[in-house]
Amino acid sequence: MNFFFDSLFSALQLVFAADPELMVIVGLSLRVSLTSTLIAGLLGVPLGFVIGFNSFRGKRVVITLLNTLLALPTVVIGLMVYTFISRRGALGALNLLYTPNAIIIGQVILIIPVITALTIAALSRIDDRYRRTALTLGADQFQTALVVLREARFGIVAAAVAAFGRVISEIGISMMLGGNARGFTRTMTTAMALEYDKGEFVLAVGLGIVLLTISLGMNTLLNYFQGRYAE
Amino acid sequence: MTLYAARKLQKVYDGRTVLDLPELSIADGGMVALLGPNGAGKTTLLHILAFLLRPSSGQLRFKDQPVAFHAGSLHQLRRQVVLVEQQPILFSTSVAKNVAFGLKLRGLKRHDINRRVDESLSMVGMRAFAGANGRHLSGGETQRVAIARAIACRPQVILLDEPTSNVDIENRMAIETIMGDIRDAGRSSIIFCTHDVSQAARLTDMRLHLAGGRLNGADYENTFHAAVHREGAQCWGRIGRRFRFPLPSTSEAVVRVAVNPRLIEIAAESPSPDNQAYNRGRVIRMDEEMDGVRLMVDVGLPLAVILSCQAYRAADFRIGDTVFVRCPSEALSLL
Repeated sequence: MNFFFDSLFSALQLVFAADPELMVIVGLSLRVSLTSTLIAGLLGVPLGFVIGFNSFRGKRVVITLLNTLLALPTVVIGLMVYTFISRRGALGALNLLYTPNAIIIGQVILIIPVITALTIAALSRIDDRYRRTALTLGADQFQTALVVLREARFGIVAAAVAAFGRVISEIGISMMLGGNARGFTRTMTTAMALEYDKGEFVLAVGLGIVLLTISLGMNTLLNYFQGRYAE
Repeated sequence: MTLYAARKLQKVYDGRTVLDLPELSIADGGMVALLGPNGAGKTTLLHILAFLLRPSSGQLRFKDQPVAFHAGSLHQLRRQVVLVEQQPILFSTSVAKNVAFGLKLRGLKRHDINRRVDESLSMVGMRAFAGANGRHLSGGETQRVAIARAIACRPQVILLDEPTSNVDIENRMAIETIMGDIRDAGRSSIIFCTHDVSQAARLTDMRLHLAGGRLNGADYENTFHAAVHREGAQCWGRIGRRFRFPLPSTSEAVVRVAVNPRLIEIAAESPSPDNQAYNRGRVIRMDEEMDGVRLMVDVGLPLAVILSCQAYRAADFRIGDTVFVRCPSEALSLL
């Protein structure tokens, strides 16, 4: 038990002293995860809007496929992207493997279905009277879409927050595509796994504390937006 | 000028015809009421007139121009017609921004928008709520703001779907006054749905009665399903448990029938006690009509009877009086 409290105490010291190595790892994790969330948002929200706002043949099949992709394991994505960006892959010449950009690519693939599916869900909860009201007041199709999007904004922000929570805590993609290079592609989760392998728990516990704090913050935000959305 | 002209207009949902209008013509200016029971097709018609719903077949002309429902330019037509739904919804922003929405779409300058928002909210008595969140208003307040939002656009037509059905008496009076003000201002024609015959009579000089998706040719409001049975050679219709009337011969077991309230005979005493065509009832309500008095008579169901002023004065009916009513064949229309 002393071992646990000693590790925890030392980890807290690392966090409060803003240990440089810890800060580099946290900074990289946040940069990569925020970038992948932003890119996935820019792609997933319009995609979700197109699927959710329009009626077309096979819409249910598309939504079922998206929901299936929500459970896609990170190692499968890592393997799939690896085959494209490794030296022998189609995009090997771009030298993306073991770079933060490789992690971002994998994470974007991971959370596009999350953001798209949650955007569709958010739109499905928007009363159709908003659409009719915008139309009858003279809006064209695009302006009407913006009105509906605006009414669904809290649901869409909640989707982005959920997606960020997914990527900040994933390890498979970061490990397989980033390679866990110190100071370059080492994220919080890969660093924790490495420290655990080494039997060095202080940094691992410190990173765990930061990760939990970020998760708590994200969930607080998520609850806030979901609460506003439900009003 | 003819505002709307429809020909062979139909709307079919899942094989069920909910609206079937061989001819419809509504003149520009003034106020028109659409009356009819639930499911009569009033809301469907309003949505078609608002260019929000494409008819299954038929033609609609607006201001003598054919409406191309499949074209992508409907929003230009929609800018001349604003629909206020039965339960309108306000965008989740301030009341003022809700009212300004249509004006921004029309490209008005900021100071013109502010002026019109102010005018419109004042007209519906909601100026003090300009900064309030639209989602936090009561039903009556929401209805008034939605009407202000429509007025602000100064459309050629304002369509109101049962504007007073979900509000208290105070808001109902306020909304009727607003509708009268809009009519008097002469900027917009108003077409509205209602179940309230006396409201329609008070506010309008043109009333269209819909039943089962069709227009009733006359000003009928007593539209019912009647069970048919025979006694000898005579067919009788029965509505509810006790209201009965002679019917023309028919092979149907149930008919839909409209009874013209102006042709119903009403008397304080049964002229012939044995005559089964007379139904005993009780006067439960009286309203002034433009050219007479409307009596609601409880004959096991509320039956409207319209008397001329002269006949009303001669009969001197009071609320609570027992009366006898008969529906002569000329008062009946099988639908």
